[in-house]
Parts: sequence; structure tokens; C-alpha cells
Amino acid sequence: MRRSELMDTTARGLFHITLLISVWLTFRGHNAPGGGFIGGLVAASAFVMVYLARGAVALRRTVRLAPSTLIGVGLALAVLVGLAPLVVGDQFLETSLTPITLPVIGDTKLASSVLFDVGVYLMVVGVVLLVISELGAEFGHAGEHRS
Amino acid sequence: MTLVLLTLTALGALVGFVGKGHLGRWGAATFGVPLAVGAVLLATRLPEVLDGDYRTESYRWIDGLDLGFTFRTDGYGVMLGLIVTVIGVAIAIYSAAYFHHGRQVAHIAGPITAFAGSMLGLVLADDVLTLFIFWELTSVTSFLLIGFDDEEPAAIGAARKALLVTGAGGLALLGGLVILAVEAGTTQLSAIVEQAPSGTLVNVALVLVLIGAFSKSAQFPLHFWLPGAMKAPTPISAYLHSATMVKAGIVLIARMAPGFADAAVWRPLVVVVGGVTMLIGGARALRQFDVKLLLAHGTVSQLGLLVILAGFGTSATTFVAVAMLVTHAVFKAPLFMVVGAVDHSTGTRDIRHLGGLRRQMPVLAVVGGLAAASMAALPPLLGFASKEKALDALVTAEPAGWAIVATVMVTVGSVLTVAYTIRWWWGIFGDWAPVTRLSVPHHHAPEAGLVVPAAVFAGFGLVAGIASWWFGDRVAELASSLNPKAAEKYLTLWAGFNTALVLSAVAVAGGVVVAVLGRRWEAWQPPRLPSGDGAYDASYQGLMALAKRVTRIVQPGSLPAYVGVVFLTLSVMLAVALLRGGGGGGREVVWADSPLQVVLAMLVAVLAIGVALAPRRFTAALLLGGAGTFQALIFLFWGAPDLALTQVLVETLALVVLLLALRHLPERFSPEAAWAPKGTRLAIAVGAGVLVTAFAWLAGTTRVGAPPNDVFTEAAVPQAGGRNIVNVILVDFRATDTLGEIAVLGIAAVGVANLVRAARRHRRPAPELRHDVEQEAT
Repeated sequence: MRRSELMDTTARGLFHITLLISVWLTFRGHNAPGGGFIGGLVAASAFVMVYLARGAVALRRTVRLAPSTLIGVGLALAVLVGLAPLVVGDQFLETSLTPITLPVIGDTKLASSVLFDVGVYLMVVGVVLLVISELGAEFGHAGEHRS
Repeated sequence: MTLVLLTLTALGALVGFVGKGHLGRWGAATFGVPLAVGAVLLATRLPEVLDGDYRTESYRWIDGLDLGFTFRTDGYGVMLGLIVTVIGVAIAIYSAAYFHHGRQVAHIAGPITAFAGSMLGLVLADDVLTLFIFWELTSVTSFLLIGFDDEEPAAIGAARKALLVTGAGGLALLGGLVILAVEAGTTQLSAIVEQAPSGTLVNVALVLVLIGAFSKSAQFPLHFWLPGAMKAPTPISAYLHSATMVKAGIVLIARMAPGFADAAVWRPLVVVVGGVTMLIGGARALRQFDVKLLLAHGTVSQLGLLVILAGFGTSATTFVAVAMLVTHAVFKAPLFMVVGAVDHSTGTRDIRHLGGLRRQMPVLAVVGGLAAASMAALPPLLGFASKEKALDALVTAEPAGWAIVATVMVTVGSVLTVAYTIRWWWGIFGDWAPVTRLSVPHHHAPEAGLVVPAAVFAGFGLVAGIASWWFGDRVAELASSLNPKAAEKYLTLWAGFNTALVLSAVAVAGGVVVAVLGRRWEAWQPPRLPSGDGAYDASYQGLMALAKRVTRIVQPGSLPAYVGVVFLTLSVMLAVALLRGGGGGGREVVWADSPLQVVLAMLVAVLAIGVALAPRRFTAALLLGGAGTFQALIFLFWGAPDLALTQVLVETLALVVLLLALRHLPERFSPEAAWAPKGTRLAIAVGAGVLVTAFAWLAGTTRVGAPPNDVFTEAAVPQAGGRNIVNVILVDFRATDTLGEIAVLGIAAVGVANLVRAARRHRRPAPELRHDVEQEAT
């Protein structure tokens, strides 16, 4: 695969913005379209851009964590969010709401299920990265050699 | 208190498993310290327990299913807990000296501590399901420990055999316990025994429970896994496969016998199986040259004796079973430790190479001699007092019929016990093989850490034997939690001239004769008879062959065939659902809200037809992505932004993944799929399309219940604090579903990654193919 300057520049420019958008989508998900699954897919597409523009080695350099670690941490986080209510005598995965006052937004409520969504987010990113890096391993390797 | 014990061992196991690489010989401490604390805790409970003050602890888990963990610190349980912890501490000290490398000590620390915790849970459990869980945990940890040497095929095979046999027995046990719990209306073990339900179903349950207990305690014909388990390092054999885990079956039998011994199936099974096991184990022990295997077959034999005593069910046999449990643990553990010390010092366990070691290792010879004398039931050791009482309890037991059978079998078994005990001690320390005595090239004196733990137990056997009246009274108080009448029983070294004394004398005299004459027996090749071991091998290999054949049929390796099967299954299920659901209707079909939706739907249809007709895979993939994207737009115009967003993202990423996968495939679809004739494939395709459409139409026009979105809409903000109902359903109302789904997603991803890795090892993509994809990509 030849490296395309255009693709490369676009990917660099969009990478951080896409990641920011993915985080924004995840946290607004409770009240507006979005959520952990969608946010995770957006973040994954940012990494896929890096892979398409610069190959598997560049992708590995961008994501220092092993994809399986992301999957494990995400799943563990979701399970822990589920188990935490048991400690205070609530049901498994029961959401607790904490009223807080934020500087700009004003009075709102913090739902523990947001953390669950973060778990889903990490999980989805890990899954896509794992599949891309495994299926694309040889391909990206060859690309690195030629460029 | 049980919770504290279990937490301690769980923490120790965690440290052991996590710190494996860094612990070195300190690994012995992660195992020994929790057990030492546990032993002290249990000992502080002793005064109350001896007074009959038992405590029950319950931890509810799922109220609706009446599931929970229940433990009871009664006399019997506390005594068994003390055996587990005290011997465990000794084994920890012994292990630190036994292993050549600290790495090995650290390696067993995790599983052995986990085992000790499981065993504690098992002996203190008062709920049949709690008991079952810990029962299975001991099987699993035992599997890890037998397979300690994971590069040795024999050890792996032995570990698997032990797991499969005890695991299968565990399933039988579960079935039996569940039936008993249903019949008695409670899962509490002590209550089940007290109620002692009866009937045909209960008899079936008892047979199942006994099968479970027999498999765990190595009873004929399921005994064959135990000698194989000797592949584990000797400290592990001393702990799991002689002193503790193999007693689990007997522990359970003794708990149940007071309630169920008079059931029709119980006593015949217990006496016959226990008796045959005692004889077979004893006879096999006489043929062994490896002193560790000799002890293993001896353990099988002793377990047979314990099954008879624990299961016979009179107050006297119950009492003596409890005494014998302690006696056996305190002589069998040091015997194994002595074998380990000899092996460690000389590098061999074969009596054809050993012999005469009493001169080089006098202390070890005395320690081994004391423990062996207790096993052979010589006065004044504890083994004598217990065996005397055992024979006396059987001679005087009612009903006499099975008691006579049991007495004869135990007496003959005791003859064999004396004989293999002589073979063991004389083989190591005496002049069994004078010709080859010097064939051990080099040896050194055993370390103190190997001798002292063994000496402590052997010494206990002597002291408790001399003070058997005192020891017996304490055991009687502890055993009274099984059967109140056991409290009146006692041990003594001299009960006067009675039948039991005569039988003991017969056993010793006969044992000496057999040991001397038995030299011929060791060379005799037994005919190959059908055995449990043979049945195991045959069924294991049969299962593997069957699995291979099934795999070849259901996984022919053709992807189109798999897809065909999936759609065929879908069609059949839809057809059944439609036929049973009957006519729908009742609601208007809303075909479209706006002309735009019609246009989009037509575009999707056109692109889908294009996918089916496209000759090249690349074109098909692009058309498929296009169809998916327009589908997302349809979602958007029907007011489902979350769904649309997800669909677009999935389509995009799926296209990338698909293109990556296409690199490994030929550019064009193969002209003719071979897995089915064209007509069949067409029928499946059309059938699936028609049925899915019909189902969608019917589902959309039929409404029998109130739509759940009203409930969710009302609850979303107050209960979950979110206004996006789709997301609230995902992360709150149906969060358990989501958790399951992401777990499946993760497993699937790991599976895909491993499949790709495996395929990459086998073949590399053709160079010209890669070239083609590049051209298309640019």
C-alpha cells in the first residue's frame, strides 16, 4: 500500500478531533443521541484512520495499550459498576444518582451508569483494534517496508 | 468465623497466584501463615464446641431461589478443619525444604492455598449446595496440583483423569443432593439428615451421593485415578491425596450415615464397595516397588476401611470412623513425608535400589517406623487403639448380617495392611534388596525441615496412643455432633481378651506371613480384566473420536454452506412462529411517512440486488456498505437517531474489516458453489426473504400488549436520570443484557484474533492477490 500524503495529513488533522467527539458523544449519551457504544465506534474509527493512512506499525505506536487490555479493563469496569451497588445493599447494576452543581451547566445529576458506558466504550475500542490489528498485521507490515 | 477463614485463605491464594514469580521460598509462607492463623482460630472455638455449642453462619445470595452459603462449626467440622489447617502448616514447612528451587514453592503456593480454603469450606458447609461448590473447588485445585509439572505428559494425563473421574462423580453428587433437598424441603444438610426422608426416589439419590463420594475417596471401581495422582510432588500427595481431599467422600458419608444408613441401598453398597476397595488396594500395594505408589495403594485400601466405618451408621462405628479419620491423617502424612525425604536425599523411591537406610538415616527410620507401626495397628500406637475399636464396633454391630461381612473383609484387609507396611519399612530401611543396596550413587542426610514435621505427627501417634483414653474422650465429644450416642464411646489400649484382640493378633501374624511369602506375588502378572481404568481410557478415546467425527460432519469448511444453514434455520423458526401465531392484523400498515423514505428503500433494494449479482467480491462489499448506509438514513427519518448513528459507524468499520479480509480471498466469487444445487440455494434465499418480510409485516400490525416504551419513558428521568431512553435502556433498565452482550463481543474478538493468528501460521497470501487489492484501493 502506497502512503498517500493527502490521507496522511487528513488523518493527523482529524485524529484528535475525532477522539474528542467520541468522548463527548459518550457522556452526552444519557440525555441525547450517543452513548458508550457509539462513542467507542467513533474512537475506533479514529484509530482505523491512522491505520489506513500510516499502517499497522504506526497504529501500534499510537495505541500503546494492547487491545486485549482495553477489552479486559472495559469489561472489568462494567462488572465493577454492577457489583458496587451490592456493597450498599442495592440490586446488581442499580443506578445511583448524585445531585451535583457544575459551574456552567448548573444543577444536574451524576448517574453511576455513565461509568458503565465508559466500560462499554473501552470494550468496543479494544474489540475493533484487536480485529484490525490482527486482520491487517501482514498488510501494514508490507506497507511499512515499501514506504 | 468461617468467613474469616475463607477470606484468609482466599487472600493467601491471591498473593500466591499473583506473586508467583517473585515469592521464591516465601511462597511457603503465603500458604502456611493463613493456615496457622486458621488453626489458632479453630482451636479457640474448641472449648465451646466440646460443650456442644455449635454456631451456624448464613450468607444469603439469591433470596428468590433460596440460594446462599451456610456453614456450621460443629464438633466434627471443627475437628476436620483442624486436620486441614495443622497438616497444612506442616506441609508448608516441609515444602520450603523439599523443593530444590524457590520457584517451585512459589508455583504451588496459589493453588495449594486455594485448595486449603476450599477444603475448609467443604468440611464446615451445612448447606448441600455450599458443600457441592467447595467439593468441586477441591477437584479443580487438585487438578492444578497434580499437573504441577505441566511439561510432563504423564502428569497432564493423570491430572485430567483425576479431574474427569472426580468431576463426573461430582455431577452424580449434585443430582443426589438436589433430589434429597427437594424431598426434605430444605437445602440444610443437618436438617436433611435429621428428617431422613425415605422412598424410591431417596434411594436413587443416595446411590448418586455415594457414587460422588466413592469417586472422590478413590473407591473401587473408581479408585484408579489416585495412584496416577502421585505424579504430583510428594508434599502435595501427602496433603491432598492422603490426608485431606480424598477424605471428602468419607466426610460426607459420615455426615449422612446417621440418617440414611438403614435405607435399603446404603449399607450393602458401603460395605461391599468399601470392603472390595480395602482388599484390592492392599493387594496392589504388595506389588509396588515405588514406595510412594505403595503408600498410594495403601491409601486406597485405608479409604475402603474408612468408608465401611463411616457408612455403617451405628453410634460405635461413627465414633470410630471419626477417630480413624484423625489416626489415618496423622500416620499417612508423615509416611509420605518420609518417602519425600528419602527421595530428596537419595534420588530414588525404588525399593530395589534402596534398603539398609536405617544405618545412614537412623532418625528418619525411627520416625517412619513409628508412623508405620500406627498404620499396621501395633500397640501402643494410636492406630492400634482405633483399629481395635473398629473391629469391636463391627463385631458387636446390629444388624449382624452385613456386620459379619464387614468384619471378615476388614480383618483380611488388615492382614494385607500389616504386610504392605512391613514391605514399605523394610524396603526402605531394612535389607529387602541386599544385592543392590549400594546402587544408590550418592545421598546426603535429610534436612531438618523434612524430618521435623514428620516426627511431630509420628510422635503424636505415639503420645495419643499411650493416652488413648484421653484422646478417645475428646473424639467422642467431637463425634457427638454426628450422633449424640457417640459421646459415650471411648478408646483404650487394653479392652480385655475379646474377639477384636484375637482378630488383631490374626492380622499381625497373617501380615508377617504374607509379607514374607508375598515376594512371589510381586512378580506375578495379573490377567487383564475389565477395570475402571480400562473403561476410563476407552470412553475417553471414544469421546475424542466421536467429537472428531461430529466436527467433520457439521463443519465441512464451506462458508456459503454455513450461511445457508443459518438462513435455513431462521426460515424454519419464522415459519413455525408464523403458523403458531396465527393471523395478525388489527393495525394499519404505515408504508411510508414521506416520498423520501420510499426513494431510500428502493435504493437499498437496488443495492442489495447488486450485491447478489456482483461478480467481484470488492464490488459486492462496496455495494453492501452502500445499502447499509441508506438503511441508516431510513432509521434517521423514522426518528431513531441512535440507531442510525450506530448503523453508519458499524457500516464504516465493517467495510474496513471486510476489505482487510478480502485480501486473503480470490478476487472473483467462485463460479459455482459446490455445497448444494442451485435450486436448493435459490429456495433457501427466496424462502428466507419472504418469511422475514411476512414476519416484519405481521409483527408491525399486531399488538397484543401495551408497548413497553411508555413505562420506560415515564421511568427514565426519575429512576435513571437520563432523557435518552435508548441509552437508559442499554445502561440501566436492561444493563445486564448489555453486560452479557459486551462479554460475548470480547470473547468473539479474541476468538477472531486467534483464528487469524492460526491461519497466518499455515498460509501466506498470494503476492499477485495483494497487488490486485492495492490497485483497487488506489
